[in-house]
Amino acid sequence: MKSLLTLTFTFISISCLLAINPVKGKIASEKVATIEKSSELIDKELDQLLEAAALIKAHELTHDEFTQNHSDIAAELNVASDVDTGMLEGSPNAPVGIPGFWWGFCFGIIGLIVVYVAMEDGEERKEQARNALYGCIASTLVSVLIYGVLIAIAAT
Amino acid sequence: MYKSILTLVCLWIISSSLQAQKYTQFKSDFTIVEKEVGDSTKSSILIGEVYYNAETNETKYNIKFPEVGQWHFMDSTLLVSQQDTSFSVRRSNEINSQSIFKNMLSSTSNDFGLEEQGYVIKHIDKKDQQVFIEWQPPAAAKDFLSTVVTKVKNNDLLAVIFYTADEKVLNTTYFEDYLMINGVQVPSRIKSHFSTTTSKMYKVISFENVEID
Repeated sequence: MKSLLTLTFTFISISCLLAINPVKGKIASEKVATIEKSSELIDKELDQLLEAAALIKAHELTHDEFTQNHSDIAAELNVASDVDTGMLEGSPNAPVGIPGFWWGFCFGIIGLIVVYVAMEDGEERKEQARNALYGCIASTLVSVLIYGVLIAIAAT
Repeated sequence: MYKSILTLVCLWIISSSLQAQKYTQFKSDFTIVEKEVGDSTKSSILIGEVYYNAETNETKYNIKFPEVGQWHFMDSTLLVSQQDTSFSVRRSNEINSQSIFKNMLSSTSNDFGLEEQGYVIKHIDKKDQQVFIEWQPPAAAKDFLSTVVTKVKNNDLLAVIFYTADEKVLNTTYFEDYLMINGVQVPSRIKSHFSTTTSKMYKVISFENVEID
């Protein structure tokens, strides 16, 4: 028990020291530039869809009304007619049962990696992503476990 | 002595959690537009309302377009009701805890949860009033991810970029048009871009009429 407490205290102390002493230095300039370029690309790719969404909201259109009354736009955009058939559901590795739209609301890298696993076709890269996902989930569980142990010790 | 120090640490953690979790409910209209470009191009538009309750750990999505229905996440269960006729129950594996609403209400993370996942700051760069931070992944993710760069301004996360192990851009996500609702900073627009070897995905989520209690 004493060695466990010593180990835990040492871990917390080192973590605190590392947290308050980040390394300062230069980030590669192209990485900073990529942030701006990628934003413009997204705007360009989704311009028409955003206009269609505004049209649908303004007139409270159903999907049938949208495809019938605005057939040119609807045909060009090829908008899905149901929720369950989202981007991820078509993939053989999609998180079955969870609609694709939900993953947009997922905050954090776990959701990001799940989406990647569903989208990526290359087997080796997918395997790496899965392992990273398990690692992320495990680290979250470990954090919860340490927190629980500290509470339990304090209570005794 | 160790017991006293641990007690103090635990009390500090609990106190921080209580301060952060001042608000427990999030409600908003939302719109999602999404486009996947690969061998073919697929698009989707989703319009509806969302309600999240941190105390009961539930999220309800009332969908209006493209089809009427409700997706109700509660703990590890997903209840689906579509067109008021069908009803199904699925297992959602506690993914509700990963939602962005929980993070917004607790206002504790402007680093995309990176530090919590074991990422370590490698470099910090300041440009005008913006702070760029480069992070190194934990050992578990190093085969798949290399660095992550976040952009923060006035303590608000503005962007995050993930690079694969071979330094290709995997994902860029932007948090824009922040609104102050009851003292909580809410990004009313989130846009994202994924790249894989076979396709690219573009997505924008917009929130309107946000209410926080």
